[in-house]
Amino acid sequence: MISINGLCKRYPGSEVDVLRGIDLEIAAGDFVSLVGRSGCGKSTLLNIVGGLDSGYEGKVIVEGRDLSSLGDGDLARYRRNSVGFVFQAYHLLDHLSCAENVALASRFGSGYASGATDERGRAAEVLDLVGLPGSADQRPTRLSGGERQRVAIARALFNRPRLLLLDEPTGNLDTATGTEILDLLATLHSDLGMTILAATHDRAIEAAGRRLLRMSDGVLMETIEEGP
Amino acid sequence: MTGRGLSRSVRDDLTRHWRHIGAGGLGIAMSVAALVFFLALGLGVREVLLGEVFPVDRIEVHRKSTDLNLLALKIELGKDTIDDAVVEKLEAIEGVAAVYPKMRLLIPAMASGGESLIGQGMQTELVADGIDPSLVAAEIGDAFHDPRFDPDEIGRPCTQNSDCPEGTVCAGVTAFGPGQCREEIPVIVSKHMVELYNGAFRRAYRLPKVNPQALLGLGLDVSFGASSLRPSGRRVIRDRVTLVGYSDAAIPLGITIPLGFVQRLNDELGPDGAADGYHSAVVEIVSKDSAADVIDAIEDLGLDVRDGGARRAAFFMTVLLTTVSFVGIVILAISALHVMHVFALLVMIRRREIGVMRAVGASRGDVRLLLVTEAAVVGFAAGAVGLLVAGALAWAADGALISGLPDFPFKPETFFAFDPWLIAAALGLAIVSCVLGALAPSLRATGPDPAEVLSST
Repeated sequence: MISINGLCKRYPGSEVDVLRGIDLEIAAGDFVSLVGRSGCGKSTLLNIVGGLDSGYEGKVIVEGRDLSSLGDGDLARYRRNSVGFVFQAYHLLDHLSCAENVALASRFGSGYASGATDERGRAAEVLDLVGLPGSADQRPTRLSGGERQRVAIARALFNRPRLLLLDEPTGNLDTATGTEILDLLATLHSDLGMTILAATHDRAIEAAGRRLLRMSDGVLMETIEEGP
Repeated sequence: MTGRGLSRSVRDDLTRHWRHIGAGGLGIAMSVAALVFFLALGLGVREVLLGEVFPVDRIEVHRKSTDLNLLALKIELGKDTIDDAVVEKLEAIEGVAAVYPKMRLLIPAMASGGESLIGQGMQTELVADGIDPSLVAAEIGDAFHDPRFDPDEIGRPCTQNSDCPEGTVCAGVTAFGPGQCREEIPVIVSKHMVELYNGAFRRAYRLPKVNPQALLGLGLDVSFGASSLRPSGRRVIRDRVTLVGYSDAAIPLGITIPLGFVQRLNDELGPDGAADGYHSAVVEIVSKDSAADVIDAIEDLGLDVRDGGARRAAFFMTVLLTTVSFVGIVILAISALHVMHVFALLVMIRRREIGVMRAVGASRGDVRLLLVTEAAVVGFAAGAVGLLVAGALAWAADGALISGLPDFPFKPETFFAFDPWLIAAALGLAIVSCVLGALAPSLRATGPDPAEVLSST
């Protein structure tokens, strides 16, 4: 599913490499937890795999596509159709309803949801899937943190991606809500067979992953292959 | 980006940011209003000035003559007429739509009549000019044409009008023989002749004021070859003319009759060769803008252009319109800078939103298209508002000018000309200004990767 070879990244104007020669293989259907201290490069690795960041050295191949060779349009299509991204800060647009947030990608091109199912119907379907039935017309500002993160997960699932990337998905949530989100992710993984790569500090998510990758100073230190 | 997605996003964004966008659009609207108002005023005045006062779309051309001054007299040297070959050369000049030859009546003539109009008959010397009827076909219609002689129907010999069928007169009667039944000679006159009559002539002679429209159809008896200033020629032809319309193409003082008829009279009653050449020609120019080039080409043929100040008026109007356009475009450019600031501010406010859009699958092109489309919609709306404001101001100004200014020759019904191209250009300029204003901010907004944008918000 994901094959990374010699991935290095340095931000412009910085003297420090954020990622230093990452080599990684992730099989389809894996649930991989990525742990490490803040600033160790977890989010940068996720951003690169998710097509949100460019300007790196090395190869990142996702489902046979070398992301570094994709132009802006193809990379946008990849983000829209092949990968779902969940941010710690949710990044929902407050002026749109939950359904409009969830279906935002459909404004920029056709995806799995287009054609066969209407956008609103598909948005309601994924909101139902994440446990928010009947919230389609609500504004995100009226929801709790946990509910907002569920909407963000629904947005990531809208186009039925094969890869779900989560950047500290429970980082802004209390323990109980975090547990709910974790349960949801476990269900999605088992029911939909998605490949999940989650950067986290949350022990519970660490435990939920089938594989645990530990990062330190831009380097993958160890891989623990275990899990439920 | 899908069309539906684009329209929804544009609608959402414009609704949300209407205050900011409205501020930017207002500047464009006012700039467009100012530009259109002054250009429409300039074009309107230009239309009157160059269309009626100094018409440059129709210029009169005559052969350059050399005169020898001899005390109070001028002796004409050389030929002063234009022949068919010159007319053909004029027609071949690029930018010339048509050439209409003119010929003066070279014999004396006297007109009498007018009892039905002013209650007493009068007799006057008559000056006449002949023009090609097609020159005034658009304004006069078919009424101004060579009088028809159809021997089968109305060409029968006669000695008085009662000998002829209805609608015809006994024309061309001479001391030596009968005339023929045919239509009266249609004539046109300059509307300034009526103004002259109503303004000065009638007062001097205590005559009634006349309504120009009521004069249409007025008939006068004419004796071609007769004169009160010198002994009449060997032949005098009695005929009758009917006024069929008014035109600026008519001779300023006198009557204007169809060219073919003048040629026949000159040939029959004039000196030798009187019908061989035209005394001038009216050259119709395709566009007022090409008038200068056409005039140069005409002068290259050794001909004079009687423009009566048209060139100076055209130059003045060109300078005026260019200045107004330049000032308007500078104002518009300043407004475009304002739009740029507004969109730069909007892009800053929407930085996270743009990052989110790109994260879920919008390309750089999608975001640019969205911002530029929003700018274009704002530009269109601002342009439309600007046009409405300009129209309202013009309406108010017209009202004030028309009612406030005293009557004067060529006083127009409106001082403004809202040509379709001006409206289209104003809308286009408004859209282009907004799009140009939004271009740089939209490029800046899509420069960084989504990860960089989202990590900084």
